[in-house]
Amino acid sequence: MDQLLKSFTKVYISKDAVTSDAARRFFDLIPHEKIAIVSERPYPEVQGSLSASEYDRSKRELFLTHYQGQFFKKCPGFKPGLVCCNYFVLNLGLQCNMNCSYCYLQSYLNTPVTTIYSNINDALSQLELIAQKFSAESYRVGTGETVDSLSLDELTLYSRHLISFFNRYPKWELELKTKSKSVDQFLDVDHVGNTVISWSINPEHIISREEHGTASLSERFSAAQKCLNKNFKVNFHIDPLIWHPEWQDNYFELVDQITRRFSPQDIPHISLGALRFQPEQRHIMRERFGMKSYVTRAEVHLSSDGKLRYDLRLRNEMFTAIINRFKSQNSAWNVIMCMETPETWLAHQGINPRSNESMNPLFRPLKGEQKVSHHTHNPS
Amino acid sequence: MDFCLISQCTKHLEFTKFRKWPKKLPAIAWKKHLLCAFDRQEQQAEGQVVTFEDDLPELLKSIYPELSLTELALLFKKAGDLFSEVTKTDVLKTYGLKANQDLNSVLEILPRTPNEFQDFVHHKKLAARELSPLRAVFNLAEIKDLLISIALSTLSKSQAVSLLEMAIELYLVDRSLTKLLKNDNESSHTWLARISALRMPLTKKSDQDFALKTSALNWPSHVKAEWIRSGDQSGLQISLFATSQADFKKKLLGINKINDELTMTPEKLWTNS
Repeated sequence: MDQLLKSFTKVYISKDAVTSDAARRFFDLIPHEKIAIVSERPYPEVQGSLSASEYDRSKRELFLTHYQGQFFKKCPGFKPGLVCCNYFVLNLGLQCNMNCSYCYLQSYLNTPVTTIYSNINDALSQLELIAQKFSAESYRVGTGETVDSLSLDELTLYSRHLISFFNRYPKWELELKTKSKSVDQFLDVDHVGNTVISWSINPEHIISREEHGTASLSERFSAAQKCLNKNFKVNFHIDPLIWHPEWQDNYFELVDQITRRFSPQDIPHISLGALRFQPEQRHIMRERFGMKSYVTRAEVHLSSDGKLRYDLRLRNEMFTAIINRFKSQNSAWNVIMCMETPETWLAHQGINPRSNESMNPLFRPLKGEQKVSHHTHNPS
Repeated sequence: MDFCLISQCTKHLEFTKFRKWPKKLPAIAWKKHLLCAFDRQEQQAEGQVVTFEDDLPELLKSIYPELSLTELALLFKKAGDLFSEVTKTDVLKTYGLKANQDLNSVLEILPRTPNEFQDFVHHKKLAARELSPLRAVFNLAEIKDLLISIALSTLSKSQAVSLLEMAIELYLVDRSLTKLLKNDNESSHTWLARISALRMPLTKKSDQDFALKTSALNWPSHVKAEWIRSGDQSGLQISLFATSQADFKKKLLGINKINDELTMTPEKLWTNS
């Protein structure tokens, strides 16, 4: 927590958020000389994407504010040209206090300050409207699209509200996706088994080079074990796969570490995704991370969905090698690909998941989705 | 609006050498800073100037319906503190550009590039995003020769933009231009291919290997088989020329033979060596 608080040089709280639970907690935890009460946004939104220096600053300053918009949107993977395990995302803020070289927020954000929405209750009210209407459906909701679900959670404690809310809708599933080790703040919350804590993971070599300010692999595994001990579901996303000369050894070692510490019953799904980013993102990455990064040096090409990706053969080679490694240890490991093109699925699995019955629970279209999806932002 | 003589105006804003102002028209100034007809002498008969006091963006747009990035960059450089940030933003907006830090960086960088490169940006009508790689270079002087070579090359606009980005990325790896500059005996297109191979070594090797395998197969005459890249995929492209149904059938049989061969031994083409 100390490290988290030190990472912010300035904290702004908007007047309309001052009486919120989150603000009260901020006042308790953050040195008051860092806090400013403001009646307007501390910085105007930028036209277009943030510059490298604006983006760097946005990670050092925090803005707690009341959000008046729609908290929900459809998963960015749900669009023509892409195959994704579609679900809903609940956005409770913008920007992340960690600093991954490949982060797509670099080409998405135009808000020059890390933002947390203070009105979690409004988000839950919006959720309630949908939940009451579709309580019998098996909706999946994630919070890790525009923020890390848990890296700021020690400050906000939003996970506690969310887990308690989802207790009332046992058919729904909440996914908290993170690269942090912050789980202690919700482990005592009663739950009905419908909360999944997901970790994006990579070999330690990649974490240390590309995922700056995140928890180490062993810290993520330890946090995952704590969650399992409290009967939370745990998933791993090996995403993004990043090619480097020793990729096979390092990813095999990662698979071996997973299979040594966990069983297929512990981790119901492991998803794989290969490096991809919007073409314009390469410029800010180059400025912020130079050309020593595996990501900026990557040999990427324009894909059918408009993103830059590794050569399809290379992606398939990486997917195949990693899946085979899992299966060689235990055929029960359930490894799927996310954020991939239909070509990859067809080349690798010989199926399109949207037309495959066995994958329906993960990939079937959501009923009534058009009635609850109103967001205009799309980061993918 | 007011009238004055050229001798009463400054040429502080002389920002373009690419456009000649018609001799029959009076020069135009903003707050007695000439915006055009910079080549006129004060003693010349057409030394009359119409000078305006406000709305610079609209005035500029009236004089120059289009301005290149080079011209805008030089205008802002020459203006210095004469233009407020609001004025600069309004000028950019008038020319369809969104003012932000990235654009400002490019506009600040451009006047520091060699003249040849500035001219190239003007003539090829490059956009700010196409010059984004320059933002990552701390010391522009170090890549001066590279920029001149690109400007003087015979590459198309998109090829030149691609080469600029790849070469700057390679330069940033070790801050050296040794292998990146165009050789004297090298054509612009060979230079581009060489830089591309340096930036994408795995892709180039893979594509070359597949191309070799493709050419090693026994294709019928008048069947053109190529291994080509299309974005993140590469694959076999076949075209054939047939003069009759019998000829067409013959070509297809020849292709089918290769299909049979590849079915038995797919590694002859379909897998990486």
